[in-house]
Amino acid sequence: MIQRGGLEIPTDQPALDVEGLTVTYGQEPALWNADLRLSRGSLAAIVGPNGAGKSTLLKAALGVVPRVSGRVRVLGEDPARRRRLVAYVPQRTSVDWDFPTSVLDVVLMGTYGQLGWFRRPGRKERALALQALEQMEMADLAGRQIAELSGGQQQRVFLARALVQDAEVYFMDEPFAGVDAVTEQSIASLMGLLAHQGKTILSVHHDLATVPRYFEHAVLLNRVVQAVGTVKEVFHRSNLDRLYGGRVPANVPEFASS
Amino acid sequence: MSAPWVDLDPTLVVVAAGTTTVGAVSGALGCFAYLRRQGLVGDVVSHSALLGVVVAFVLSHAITGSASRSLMVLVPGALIAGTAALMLARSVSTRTRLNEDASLGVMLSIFFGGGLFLLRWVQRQSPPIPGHTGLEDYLFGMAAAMTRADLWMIFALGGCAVVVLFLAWKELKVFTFDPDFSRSLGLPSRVLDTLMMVLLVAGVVIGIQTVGVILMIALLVTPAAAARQWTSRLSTMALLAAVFGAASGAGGALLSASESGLPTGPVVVLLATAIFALSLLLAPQRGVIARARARRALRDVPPPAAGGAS
Amino acid sequence: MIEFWTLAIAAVTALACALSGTFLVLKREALVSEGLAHAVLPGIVIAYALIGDRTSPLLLVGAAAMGLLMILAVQAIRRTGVVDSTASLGVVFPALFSVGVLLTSMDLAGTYFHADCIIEGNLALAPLDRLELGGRDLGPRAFWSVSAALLLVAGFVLLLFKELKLLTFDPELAASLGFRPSRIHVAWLAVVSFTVVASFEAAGSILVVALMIAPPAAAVLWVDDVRHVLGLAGVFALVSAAVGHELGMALDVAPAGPMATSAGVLFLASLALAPRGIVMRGRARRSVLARLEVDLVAARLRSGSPRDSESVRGELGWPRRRFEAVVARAVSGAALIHDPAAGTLHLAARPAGS
Repeated sequence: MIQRGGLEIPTDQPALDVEGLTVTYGQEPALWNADLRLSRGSLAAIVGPNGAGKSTLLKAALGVVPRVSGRVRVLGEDPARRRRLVAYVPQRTSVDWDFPTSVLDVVLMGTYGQLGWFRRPGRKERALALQALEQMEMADLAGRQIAELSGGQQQRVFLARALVQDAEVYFMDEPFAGVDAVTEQSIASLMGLLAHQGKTILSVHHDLATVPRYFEHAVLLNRVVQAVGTVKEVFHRSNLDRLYGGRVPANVPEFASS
Repeated sequence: MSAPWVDLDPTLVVVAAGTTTVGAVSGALGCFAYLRRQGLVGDVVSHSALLGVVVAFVLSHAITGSASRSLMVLVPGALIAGTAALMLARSVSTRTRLNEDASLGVMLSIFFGGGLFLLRWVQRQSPPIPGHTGLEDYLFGMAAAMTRADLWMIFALGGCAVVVLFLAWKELKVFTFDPDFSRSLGLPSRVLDTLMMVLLVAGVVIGIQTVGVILMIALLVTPAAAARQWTSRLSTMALLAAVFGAASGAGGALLSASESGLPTGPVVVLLATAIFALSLLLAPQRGVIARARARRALRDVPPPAAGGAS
Repeated sequence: MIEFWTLAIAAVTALACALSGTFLVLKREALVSEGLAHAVLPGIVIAYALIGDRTSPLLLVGAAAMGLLMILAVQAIRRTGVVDSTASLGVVFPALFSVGVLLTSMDLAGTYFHADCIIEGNLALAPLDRLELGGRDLGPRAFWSVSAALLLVAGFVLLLFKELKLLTFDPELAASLGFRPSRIHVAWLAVVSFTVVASFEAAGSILVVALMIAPPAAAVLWVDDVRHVLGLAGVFALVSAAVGHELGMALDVAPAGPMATSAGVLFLASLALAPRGIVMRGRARRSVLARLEVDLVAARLRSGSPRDSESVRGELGWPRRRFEAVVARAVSGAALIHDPAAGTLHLAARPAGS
């Protein structure tokens, strides 16, 4: 059992348990009957070709897009009823960075879920947000207008916002996309730290070359889940050939053949 | 309002208070529409409201025997018609291949065309329905016709809208900035979307008597676009847009009162446009002049990435 | 004879508007027509004040230039990068319209303009205003100006169809092929602006907007090919003009409102009846969903051995009623076998045909 703000959460349950998850936008399902189970402390990458439903898997598990079917359990709970168990880092490019707000304000949005309606973030929330910014080495930019940030800094802001949520399971959509090398390193070490603390991370990842370096688990997805397991078990040539229809992106080194 | 050259007659006080309030409220409410890139939605709402206004007028005649042009009767009609037009447009653009622009445009044509059709028909009735000539004023606005009761209605509806805006501020803010994230927090996106729609409609409806259905969009978009240039904080932007809107409203009321025959609506709109033009030129950082200067100073250095990906 | 000319003017106006509106609707800029329909007002008033001769074709050109000015102003504001194009349109056209209303109210243009004409035009009087050349009566002036607009639009569409199509659906490809998409775009909007001005007098702003948006939007629900959309939009526009005209006569009101309303009713009817309308699309979507649901239950039973139906229901996260309805469909389609006594489900013994 772990104690979380008056909640007792059993630790014998899988951190994330997804069954039968199906989403359709038009005629063809974007995600079909996906089953996925991750234990606590998993650090998992979702990989697959464009249009494979990677972001859709995250969004459907979070209830951000409507699903045709599927049951999602986070530590045995319905995440719709235990919102503070999950945190979401959307794709950086999904928002308008010219929005009139500051770095600190965006990070404070991570506290909105726990505050509930009508209550404003106060001193306590501010301190939490600053602490998260500090962890992302962004504390001195707290007052900065978000339009002035670089890509890497934008991503750090989003991660700080997720840290403030102090969740058990983190859903991240391409956190490494378009960031500088320094930021890439600090995101990778943040993920490692979170996993070490028993948090669970499920992240869409594009760069196949870095999967073995940054992740312990992999979910191979092309509308259906083709394989789930440790990187060692599932992330090898024959699986990837099947996943990408024989057109594995060129940047994949001859890695971990098993 | 106590400038020496203004004759402080009570009608003018009512009109000026009304247009000022309308300007402030719609300026503040317009910020969210502006940031969601839905400025033209306000245009569809205001045009569509005409149908509601005329139907409410006819119904009040049919039910009570005497037709009413008071805002008490017409505002509910306008609220319903404006909301209905938006919801229909939404459902057309999500359920067919038509894009949002086309769906909005069609609803504008149907509701405004229908409203105009009905308006002309009402005006042809014999015996004439008393008060029908005043309906025409909703097209271009007739601030001078504002009564004390109308003013209270503007205060009440505008006040409600501002209170709701204040109470749901952080939810509306996160929903506007990052809708997917706000859904992941468990915020009900449909409720927030509807709330925003109703606020927008309320902001439009209180203004159509003053500036008319055709020009109402300017009171939503122009002050917000001007305010955005001066600040990078949402709350400051909303306040500033309210101030710009109020100043345009007050200025329009006073100018058109001092110069006979000047219609209030267009004067209000042109004042707001002037504020926008000045803001676009003069604002620090974002203004055209400031940025040209910054570019000159940095001529040899590659410019920093301005704005963001969207 | 007057009625013939009224109808002729309405028909040509409707065609010109629908043809030019088709590309606006497809290019996600339908509301540009709303902007143009308002922005040309000061152009008309100023051109009239300057030229003084309302029969001069220069009047049309001058007014259309104001529409083009609006387009350029919107683009210039958008290019500053601090205001997006929707908002710049929302700032510019009400401002220009306000200038127009102020000028009209100042009586600059004499009694030529009346507030009503701005919105509804004056189709009833249009046939009385004749075009005379060398003492010969050539018919109403309005007829010739909207015909000129129709010719211009049709000519542009015929000559530059390929470019317009590319510009509409893939401006980036157009640029890479060496077209200047922005130039063609501005030229096209100039033609649209001319159409708006020419239609303005007879149709007024509301009818221009309605005829530019509603018929093409209705056509898009019936057919796919751009050429077919153009043709059907033309037909819808003609029908709206004719029906609206009759309705206006019958009820003794200006025909603009009835015509706009007829175009709207045609759109709503298409929404209900057309293959890509709400009803048919909804039905198609439901039948796809019904098939998906059966396939999903079958997919959960892939192992072949009978499974407890409650746990299958739990995995799919469906409420009981929905699940039971899907199972009933699957059983009647002989895809599943349901054993109510044991509470189990298993796949029917046949090659799974999903």
